[in-house]
Amino acid sequence: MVNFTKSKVYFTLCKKKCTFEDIIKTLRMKTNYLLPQKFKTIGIAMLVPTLLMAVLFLFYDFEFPFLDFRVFSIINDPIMGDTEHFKFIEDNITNELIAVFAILSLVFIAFSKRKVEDELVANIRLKSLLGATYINYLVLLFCILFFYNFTFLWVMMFNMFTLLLFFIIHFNFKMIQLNRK
Amino acid sequence: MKNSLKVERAKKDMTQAELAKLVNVSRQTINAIESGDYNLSTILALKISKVFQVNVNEIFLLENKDL
Repeated sequence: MVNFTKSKVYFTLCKKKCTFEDIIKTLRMKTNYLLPQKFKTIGIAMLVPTLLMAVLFLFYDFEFPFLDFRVFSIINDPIMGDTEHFKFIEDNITNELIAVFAILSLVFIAFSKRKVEDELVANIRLKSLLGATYINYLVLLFCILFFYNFTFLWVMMFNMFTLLLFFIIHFNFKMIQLNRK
Repeated sequence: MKNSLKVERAKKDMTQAELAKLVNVSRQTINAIESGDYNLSTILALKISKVFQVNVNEIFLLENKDL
């Protein structure tokens, strides 16, 4: 029987003559869009102060006074007054910074490479993303039906982060399960 | 899909960790393949067959339920 892996049979791929070894090398060079491993540590380091700030902001209306800036807004729809478009407005950007840092830190934690990043991990990652999406939207559907007025605004605010949060929990739980086997 | 990876490893007196290192995956992945929990990719099957110097279908076999 012919052993393909050792044979010098030539294949034609993209008008180029290549051996079986070349095809394996090409397949190995597939791109993954994950962040470097150190981003996980950066993400965790960013998340801790961000969570602390978020708790202070949400429960005690805490804002840094030195973060009052003139910012560019595409649409500004204040409670009192008319809607403005493409204008500079005065705003304290504490809440914007908290949201930006929370999203960045969760993305860093969720999508940084593991020490060994092989196809099983990629498979678990994909399944976890699917699972997290289902859970996130099931929770959102429940909230749409049973939460009203300002409570729903709170739900929408948390929903910005829950997909990533559910993914991180699901993925890490599966990885712990795998490592225990 | 069933496989005789454990048998092939035993023939070569190779541990899961050694095989994992040779094909550039984690030991857990080899364990998951052996126990049938994970259906590996074609490229990994080819790499493993190359390590044992046999054809892919000598290690990995389709079962009736796969057809």
